[in-house]
Amino acid sequence: MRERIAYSPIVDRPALHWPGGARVAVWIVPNIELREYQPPNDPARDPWPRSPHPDVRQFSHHDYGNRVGFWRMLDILDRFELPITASLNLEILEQLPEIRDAIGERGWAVMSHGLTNTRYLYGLEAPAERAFYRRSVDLVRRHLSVPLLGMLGPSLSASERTPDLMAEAGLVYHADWAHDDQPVPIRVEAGRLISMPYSFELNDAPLFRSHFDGDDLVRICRAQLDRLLVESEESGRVMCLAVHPFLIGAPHRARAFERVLAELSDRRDVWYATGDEIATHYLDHEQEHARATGPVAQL
Amino acid sequence: MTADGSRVGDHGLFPWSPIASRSVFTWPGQAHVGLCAIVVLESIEWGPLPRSTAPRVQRGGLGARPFPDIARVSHNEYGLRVGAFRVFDALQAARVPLVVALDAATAERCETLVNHCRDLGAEFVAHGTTGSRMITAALSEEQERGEIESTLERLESALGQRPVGWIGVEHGESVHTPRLLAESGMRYVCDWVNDEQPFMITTPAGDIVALPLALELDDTYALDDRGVPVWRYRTMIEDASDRLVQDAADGARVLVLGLHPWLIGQAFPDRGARARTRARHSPSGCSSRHGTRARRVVVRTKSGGRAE
Repeated sequence: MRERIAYSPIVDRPALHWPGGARVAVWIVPNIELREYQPPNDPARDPWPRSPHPDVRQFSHHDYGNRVGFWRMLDILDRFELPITASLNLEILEQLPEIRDAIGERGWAVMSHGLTNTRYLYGLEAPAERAFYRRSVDLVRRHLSVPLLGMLGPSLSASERTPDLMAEAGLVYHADWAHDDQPVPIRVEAGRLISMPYSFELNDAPLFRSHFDGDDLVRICRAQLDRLLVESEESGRVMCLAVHPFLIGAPHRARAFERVLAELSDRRDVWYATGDEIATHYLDHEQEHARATGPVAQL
Repeated sequence: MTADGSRVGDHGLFPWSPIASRSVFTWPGQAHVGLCAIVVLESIEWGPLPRSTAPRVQRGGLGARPFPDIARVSHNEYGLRVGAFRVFDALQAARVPLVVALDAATAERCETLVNHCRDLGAEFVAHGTTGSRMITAALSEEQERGEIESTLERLESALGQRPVGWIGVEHGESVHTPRLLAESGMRYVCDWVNDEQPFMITTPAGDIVALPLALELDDTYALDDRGVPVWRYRTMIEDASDRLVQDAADGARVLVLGLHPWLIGQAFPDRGARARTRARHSPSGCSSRHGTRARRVVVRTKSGGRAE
């Protein structure tokens, strides 16, 4: 960690400025995932640890997200017209054309979430991980005609080389880091890479796997944005809302999700942006911030 | 296709089918939502058992306890002795037909309970030999076939009728299960939780309907696994039913609730919370829901109610 990231307390940095003088950049990230009924065995981590495979209950709970939950989530997102960054298991572009087209037609930004959520990066040799990025970049270019700029690791997995190989493949932001309310540089062998503030707190997966439910997410989002707006008078902040269609798309959460989006919408001093837009702005305009917060000899 | 040429996630049991791309699906009487409450009556063993998963750990932070864990086993037994009768009353008051998932051991041990279910006109769904014997890939195909056949024979002997539906203990299946169930004459299975409409699973032994259960609204998943407070469970079910009725404009939905009397049959969940596991008393709600037994859903599906 120390080699990749310089310790930089947020109280001791140059000011960070968002477009139009906005104080908080909000990005909304649905994680659209493809999981396998019988994934390959990975000694590092079992995607279905509850029972020997298949685990029909867990597999089909996630499958619900693509068959049903995604479409309810989409119906709600469409009414708010906020910029969306899909954190996408990229094999979906090949295998679930209706979902690919729904994303493409709306012009959402696409951040890689790996190829599937049941194939991890742990211990991958460099050639295999390079092939993984080649396929990722190619899928996005071929299906959506845009460059791939960011990644949230597949099911949050990584190898020791991941940041270096991401930068080598032309990606510029990595969302696995939960260490900050602002982007900061990550040390890589060549090229440029920044961490993009994602959230494991404003995130339906940890919340809705415990006793929290929709109304809690409404309160958490409201409180988070209120507080970040207070703290950002001098220097901009990032707020991320992460959701998963198999959870937020359940019928009993539809009303709460509408309230979450209503809380986040139409706020003064907020820049509604995609991960790609936040990263591009930071890299183009925040060199001083990056120099002050990054590892030595970066950027 | 993936880089190595295999199709990711493909189980060959049913095709990919997003709900937004399907043809219109309807219930009898143009009902918006088919509601099916499955009361799970199961006996658990002292365990641990070979080839089974670890027993459910009782809440309270004390972790798993060794044999004999009287607290855990008796907590389950409360459902069969006391809780079930409260749940039956609530469903009856709400005019929701009774569907009972029953394991072979309970069918044999609890004659009065089974007779009571029969008197209430219950439909029985097969639920394994005991609540501690989950079907998993750790069983050989022969062992699994034996588990299914033994369940059905013992239930038939205790009930005088052979069930036509199956819900696995802990939703447990191997890759062989849908075929073995079809071979055993099962017409529907409730292990899959991936949809809001029934769909067809194709096996070499014939088709079997998947009647998807709402996992998030199953009482053990919400209240025990997640620890959702029971007063919130009530609003979750209300909110789900409101939204399902709204979405049914594009195609009717099904809401299958799994209810476990050792948990939802405790005295303290207020009557309302139990009653809300069915239609709400709103004018629009009453007219738009269709209380149904699982078998009627299956009949409708087999008769071409669905495009897939």
